Amino acid sequence: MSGGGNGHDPNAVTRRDWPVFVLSSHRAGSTLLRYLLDSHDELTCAPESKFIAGLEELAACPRTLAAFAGLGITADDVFAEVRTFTERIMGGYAGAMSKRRWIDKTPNYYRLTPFLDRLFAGQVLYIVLARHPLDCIASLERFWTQGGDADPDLARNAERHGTSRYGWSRYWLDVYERLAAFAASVPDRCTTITYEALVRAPEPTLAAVLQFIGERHQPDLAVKAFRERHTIGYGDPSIERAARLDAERVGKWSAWPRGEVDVLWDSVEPVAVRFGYERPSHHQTA
Amino acid sequence: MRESAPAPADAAPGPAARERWPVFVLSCHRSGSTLLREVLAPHPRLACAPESGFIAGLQPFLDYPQALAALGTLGWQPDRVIRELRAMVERLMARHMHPLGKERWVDTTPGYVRHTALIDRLFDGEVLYVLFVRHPLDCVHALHASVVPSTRHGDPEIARCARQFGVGRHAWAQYWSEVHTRLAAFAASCLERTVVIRYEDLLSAPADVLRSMLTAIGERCPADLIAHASVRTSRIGARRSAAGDRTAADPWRAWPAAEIRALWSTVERVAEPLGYRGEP
Repeated sequence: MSGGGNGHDPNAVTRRDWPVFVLSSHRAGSTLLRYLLDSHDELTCAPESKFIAGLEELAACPRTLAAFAGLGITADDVFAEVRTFTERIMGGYAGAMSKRRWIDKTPNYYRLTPFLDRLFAGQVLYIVLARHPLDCIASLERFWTQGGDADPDLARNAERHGTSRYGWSRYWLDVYERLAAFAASVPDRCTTITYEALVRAPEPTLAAVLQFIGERHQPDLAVKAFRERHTIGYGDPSIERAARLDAERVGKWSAWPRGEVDVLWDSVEPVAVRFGYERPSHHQTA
Repeated sequence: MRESAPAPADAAPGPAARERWPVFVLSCHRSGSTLLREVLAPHPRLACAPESGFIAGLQPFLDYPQALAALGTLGWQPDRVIRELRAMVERLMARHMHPLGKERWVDTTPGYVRHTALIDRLFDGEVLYVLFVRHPLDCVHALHASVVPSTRHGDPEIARCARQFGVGRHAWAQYWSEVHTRLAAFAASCLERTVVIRYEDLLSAPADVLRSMLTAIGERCPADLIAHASVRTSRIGARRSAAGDRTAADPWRAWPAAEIRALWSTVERVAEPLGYRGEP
């Protein structure tokens, strides 16, 4: 775990109102994190919003910005208005949920970090959620055949790298290579957690996340998350069948042939080690 | 464990009075919309923007995969999203108008011909249109003389034209025909919100055309605006008739008669209802 939030930031009052984005690949456990954070008294974590990727196509297009410039409207003006639009949508959702602050957890936004940072003029916090690459690959492989092909980002990856385990390893690499670089560029506004820490030690992991974003710790989130109602939307639907945190959903790749594990690991290793993951040992595989 | 999000509070603006509705000048490229913009520039209430272009960018946003469905899960159904987009567009245009001391905007982007459905939906019908047309062969001449068509042209509409119709006067004639077929169909769907004016009439009788157009959009026509328009249009009229023959005003008349006939046959179905004729 890393990150600069320590509760002594002189801007803490302001930071407490900043939006928060959970950045991850698909199938990294972001829906679980969503349910946990959404159970906080002050926070709402919406289903995947997706639309901000469409706004990027509008606001970051050079031709669009040139057209605005012709009207005497600066790029900063454009971003300010797009931010207002976004905040009305997401803030409206938070208000409807009777919550004070919103969190977004759309996996596809890993590509949009420069846009998000500019959109909110740096007044935004990030939680990078990583998951063991081989577990993630195993889950992506299943998800692709269960509706994941409708997602534009996964479809793009499938077109580029295919839908084999190796293809998904390229996706994982792309996501976390970008996120590692981004996290390093804004260390005071980004914290990193792992799925494994979340399911094995939810209390301290959530406490650290909440402290980082300037919110009060609530020790009952891991229980409330599975009792409270959450809005239907894009995300992992399997969580609805869960009654509690499940620390056993790791290591399913251990039945894969050792040679394949080695090949996949070679593909992701340079980035995986940056998130604290180690090459699987021989006793972990078939 | 599931529920739908309740609809958030809707703070988007309510209906506006007709005299505050935005105005879109819809035209083919090289129809003279820049002249119309210059003529309207001194109007005390109207901010006649250079080609804005950005509204076309809203379409990719609305078409982005899963975006509208995701917004629906957040309690924002498509109509509410459109209202928010409208509010955003109006705030942006206010940033353009207010420094100029203007209250209402007139947009002259030719590329919007293909986005009339989006514009009408965006403003929920609270929008007026000026169809600004020019003799097809005159327009073809201007396009052929000043635009180098390419499938990689910076203007997506020109690039599309090059892809679809190729290059040369015949390609431009097909483009003109396509654009005005669209415009005629659209105008027929909202007659009470559309006024048609011709470039040639603006040159020959600017005062009448301006009064007619401004009345249609609910604006007064100040005397100094007419004086300004008369000066501006008379300069162009003088240039066009300087040589004293019809080919100076209408260069296409010097083209081979067979080519004129061929080009006219491409455009006549749409051109004649607009009052144009194509005799050499």
